[in-house]
Amino acid sequence: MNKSSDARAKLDRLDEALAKDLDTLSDEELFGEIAAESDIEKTVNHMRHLVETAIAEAGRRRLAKARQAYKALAERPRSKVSQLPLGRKKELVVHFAHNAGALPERLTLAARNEDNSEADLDGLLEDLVELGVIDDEGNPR
Amino acid sequence: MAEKRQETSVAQRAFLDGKEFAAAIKALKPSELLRLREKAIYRAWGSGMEGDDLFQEAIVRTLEEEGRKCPCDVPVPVYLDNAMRSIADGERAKYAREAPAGVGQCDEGPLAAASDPAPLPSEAALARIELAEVIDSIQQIFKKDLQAQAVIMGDVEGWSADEVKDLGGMDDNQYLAARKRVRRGLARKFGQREQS
Repeated sequence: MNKSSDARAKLDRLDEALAKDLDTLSDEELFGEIAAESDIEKTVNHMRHLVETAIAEAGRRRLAKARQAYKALAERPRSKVSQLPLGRKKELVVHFAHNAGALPERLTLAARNEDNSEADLDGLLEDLVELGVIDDEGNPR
Repeated sequence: MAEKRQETSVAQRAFLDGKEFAAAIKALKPSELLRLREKAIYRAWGSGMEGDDLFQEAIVRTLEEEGRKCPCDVPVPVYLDNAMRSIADGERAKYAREAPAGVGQCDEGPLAAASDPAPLPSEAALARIELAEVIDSIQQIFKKDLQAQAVIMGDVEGWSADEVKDLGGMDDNQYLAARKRVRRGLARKFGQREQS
C-alpha cells in the first residue's frame, strides 16, 4: 500500500469511527454536547439554509442542462426536405399515407392526419429521410 | 386517502424521486441535521471540500437527473451520510491517483484519466499534502491531551475500544470522556463557518 492510499484508508477509518460515535448518542446528549460551544438554533438554521440553496442549485443545473440540450436540438442541421415547397411536402405525405408499406404505424397515422401543420409535415418528412424511405430532396428511394 | 395512495406508490418503487427527496430533506429533524453536519465535517477531511460543501454536493447529485438515487427503504439521513462518504472517498482517490511517481502508483493510464477529470497540478499538489498531513494536523489539535491522541490513533489504526483504553491507561468513563473531547475539539476546529 502506498503512502497516499494508506492515508486514505486511515482517514476513512477515523471518520467512520467518529460518525458511528454520533449514532450512539441520544438526541438529548447530542444537543447537550453542541450547545456547550455553539448556538443550536443558529446551526440548525444554517443547515436548513444549506438544504434550500442545494435544492436551488440542483434546479439551476437541471435548467442549464435542458437549455444546452434544447440549443443542440435547435442548432441541428435541418434536412433539405424542409425547404421543399409546401405543396410538394403535402404531396409526399399524402403519397406515403396511402402507400404506407412497411412504415411504422405511428408515421402512417400521423401522415393521414389532415390537420398537419407545416412543422408537422417537416417532422414527418425528416422521419422518412432518417428511415431511408426518401432521400434528402424528397425523392423516394 | 390521497396520502395512503402516495405511500403505496413509494413503497412499490425502489428509489425516491426528486420531489420526494427534496421534501424529505426539508423535513429533516434538528437532531438529524446536527448529526449530518458533524458527519460532513469528518467525511470532508482530505477531500478538498469543507463539510458544508460536501453536504450540499450530496444533495445536488441526488437531485440531478442522472445522479445518485435515495433508496425508498433507507432513511434519508443514512443515505446522505453514505453519499457524503462515497463522494469524499472519490475525491481522495482522485488526488491519490495524482501522487508523485515512485510511490507505487499504477493507475495512471488513459482509462483512469478518462473516468475522472484530473485536478489541476497545483490543486493536486495541495490536496496531496493535505491528504498526507491531515491526520497529523488532527492529532496536533490534541497535542496536550494524550488520551484524546490515543483515541485518534486507535480509530486511525482500527483498534478496538479495549485496545485504546489499554494504550491510554483509561477506564470506561475516561475513554468516553476522551472520545467526547475529540468530537468537540474537531467540531470547534472545523465547523465554525456558520458562526462567523
